Amino acid sequence: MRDLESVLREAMAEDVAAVIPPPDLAGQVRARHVRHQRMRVAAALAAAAVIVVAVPVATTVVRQQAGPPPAEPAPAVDEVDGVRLTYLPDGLRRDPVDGMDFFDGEMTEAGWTGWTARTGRWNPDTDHIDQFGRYYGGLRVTVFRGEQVADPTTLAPALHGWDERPAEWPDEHVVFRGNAGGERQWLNVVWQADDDLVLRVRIGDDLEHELDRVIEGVRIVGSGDRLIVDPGREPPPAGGGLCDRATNLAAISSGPLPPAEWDEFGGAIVHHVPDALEGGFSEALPSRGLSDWLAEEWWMYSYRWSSPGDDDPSMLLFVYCADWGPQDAGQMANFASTIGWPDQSQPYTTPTGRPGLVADSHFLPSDLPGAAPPGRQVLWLEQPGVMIRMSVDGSLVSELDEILASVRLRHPGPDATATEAGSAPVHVALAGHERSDDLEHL
Amino acid sequence: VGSRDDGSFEAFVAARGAALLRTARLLCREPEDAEDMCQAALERAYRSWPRIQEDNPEPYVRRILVNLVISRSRRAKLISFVALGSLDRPAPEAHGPGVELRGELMKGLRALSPRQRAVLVLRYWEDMSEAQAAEALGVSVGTVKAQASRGLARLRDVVDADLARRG
Repeated sequence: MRDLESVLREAMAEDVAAVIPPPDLAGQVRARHVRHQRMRVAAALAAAAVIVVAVPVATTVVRQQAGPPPAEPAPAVDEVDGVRLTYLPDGLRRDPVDGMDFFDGEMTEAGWTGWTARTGRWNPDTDHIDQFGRYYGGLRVTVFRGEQVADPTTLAPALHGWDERPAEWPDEHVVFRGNAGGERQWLNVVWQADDDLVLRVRIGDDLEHELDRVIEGVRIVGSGDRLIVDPGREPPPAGGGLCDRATNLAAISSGPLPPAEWDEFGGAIVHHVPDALEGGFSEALPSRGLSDWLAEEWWMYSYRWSSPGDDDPSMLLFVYCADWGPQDAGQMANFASTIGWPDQSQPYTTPTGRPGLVADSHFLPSDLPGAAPPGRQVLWLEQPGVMIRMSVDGSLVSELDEILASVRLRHPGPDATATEAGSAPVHVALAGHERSDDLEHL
Repeated sequence: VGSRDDGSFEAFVAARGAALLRTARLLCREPEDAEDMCQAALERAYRSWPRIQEDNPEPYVRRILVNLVISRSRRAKLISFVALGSLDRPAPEAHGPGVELRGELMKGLRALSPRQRAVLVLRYWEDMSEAQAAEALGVSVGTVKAQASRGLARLRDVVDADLARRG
């Protein structure tokens, strides 16, 4: 048999033999360029003249409302991340906590990058909460910023749900308009306002008649905060609860474990970091207030350990922390649903005796179906109000029990043993990554 | 853009559009994405056309294309991606073992990681040297070597499995 490279060349040639570009490829490229250029100019004009003109993007992408637009420049009603809303429906009140969308950023070798998302939430006076404890009704305005929002084909699915993408784009700037992800109680409009700015307006179905007026009142007035990984800029949640200790997180650095200055970090620490993860600890992302998903404030910390190669294993750890969260195993199901836990899972007890769920999949769906290494993830109730999710893939699956047994909360609360399933925690010989000061907390 | 020569851009696309689209098709895991990626790369080149048109713009466009595809593939890891458009894909025909093997190889190629796939496409479709491929990808020559080695090893497994299946 001939060498593999020659056969591969033949296979490639055969595969693309029938590929022919459209007859007017250059014209299509130019038209695409003109569309994008027009969009940039419109956004720049809007930013420069916010007082006297409506944002051109918004006015061109949304069908005209039945009623007249505001005749005079309206006073600023409210703002979220550099975007001003000059019209808000009556009867809504601003949630004091902005949301950071669960889909902020993306995983790359460099950590979470991509875009930031800040959501302003205006709730109706009468709360509507569904069976999963999520608000519906009212108004949500999410401001996505970052170079990578320039590609709406990539951002759009993240905006609407994991597996839904609009069947058609009704306007050159509108990414989406309609219900999404089976959420009939929300109407969404998403549009690209600039190369690095995408806006989403979600409104409860009972306020649909107000949607266009809200959008026409949108003004871009600043570049936003852009910050996402520094919770110190936010006051900690009140109440003296378990989640109060997240205020000292100051920087992201590398190393096999979160750096020493994170000692007050209210998340978890892992004492067994497999040697295969030579890339070391690579990033952490605290999120506060998961917009639209949960009715109450919570914190989520994510950690990632990685290896340099595309195919090498990775380890992801999430700590979900909410004083009002699940108190026992029986309350886990709804919480699991809200964080996108896979349906195909089984009951599980961790090596330290915690009740949980296990699923044979990695948190990050691989783009290599059929060739992907197997993954496994476990979600467990570490103590009332605190759930931990560990996801590994590749060779790390065989080490999962040892990894799980080494996970400890940095600051376990007084109820730390309340969720144990009766057995004593498994003693695990610590691997070579621990720091002595960590031991004091165990 | 004052000095942009649309005529020269059209001539370039007419001359090299098919080759770029074919490369895009090999780079993309989903063939349906090829045309969009090719257009996106050409659009970025068009923005800079006055600057790049004097030299040979093809390596520049190809580099954009490769990195766009890799970048998008990474982002697609977190989102379920349903492509909109579609290129005509030739229907499978009755074929012999050699054709079957090539088909399996292409499946194997598309199952590789985006960067491994890009390295193999640049090395064995574009006939680039390791140094040229490294430059196009913005990585070291060592990375190109490692990725090519891993990618070929996986494809070799595909070949072995195919041979074993056919006895």
